[in-house]
Amino acid sequence: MRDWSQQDLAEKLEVSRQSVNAIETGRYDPSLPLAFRIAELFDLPIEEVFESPTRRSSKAI
Amino acid sequence: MSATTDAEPSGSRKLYLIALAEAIALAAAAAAVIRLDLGWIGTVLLSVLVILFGYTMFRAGERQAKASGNFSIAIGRYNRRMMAAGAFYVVGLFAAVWAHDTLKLSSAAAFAVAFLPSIGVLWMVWAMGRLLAEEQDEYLRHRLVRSSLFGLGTLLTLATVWGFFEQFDLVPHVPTWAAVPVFAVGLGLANCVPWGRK
Repeated sequence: MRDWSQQDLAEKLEVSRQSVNAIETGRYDPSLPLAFRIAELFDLPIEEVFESPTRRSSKAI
Repeated sequence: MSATTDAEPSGSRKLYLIALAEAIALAAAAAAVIRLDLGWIGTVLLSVLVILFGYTMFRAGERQAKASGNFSIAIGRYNRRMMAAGAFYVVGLFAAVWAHDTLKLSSAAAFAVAFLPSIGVLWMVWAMGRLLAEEQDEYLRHRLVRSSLFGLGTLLTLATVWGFFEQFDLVPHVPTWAAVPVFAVGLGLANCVPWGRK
């Protein structure tokens, strides 16, 4: 984990801090291009940054 | 995804306090104008106050958005357009009322004069449309679309219910220009809805 504030991350992604907050707290699903930008920024595969909703629901069963 | 170190700050309290203080001041000024029977001077004074308060609210909102990292170029443009449209609306309304009360207008001129206040409001509607088209931040755009749909739902619901109440002589008539203020109230109410997780 990098020691970035929401503002730092928002500036690196060129989005509002509100966007970062909404994505982090699960209130908003980013578009595919933004999700890829986030994954690339953390240098991680996209599935390590975001959890698949279908896998999440199958875990719950 | 949880990668950062801070949570959402609540920096909007000051903005609400300014809005409340200005609403109280405006109500007091309106009451004074009516009580002292200031006529046209009172109307001009109130118009200037509305423009001034509108301007300070927009500036305060902009400062708060910048401080909390939620400002965008599109929002800045929208604020400026709304300020200009709002000022034009107040002046247009004032001019239209004055012309209607003091001049003998032909039918075409009467239509032109009556259309004058609409220009400011249509300018605002255009500014809202431009905000939607120009906002580059997808989450802010998503919120704007959601709020707009909520505002539209509010307007359709109230117009339908009120229309039938009015039809059966239960409530007084409301002019149709109230559509935009009702829509704006719906836009504002959308921010109070606990949308929760998706």
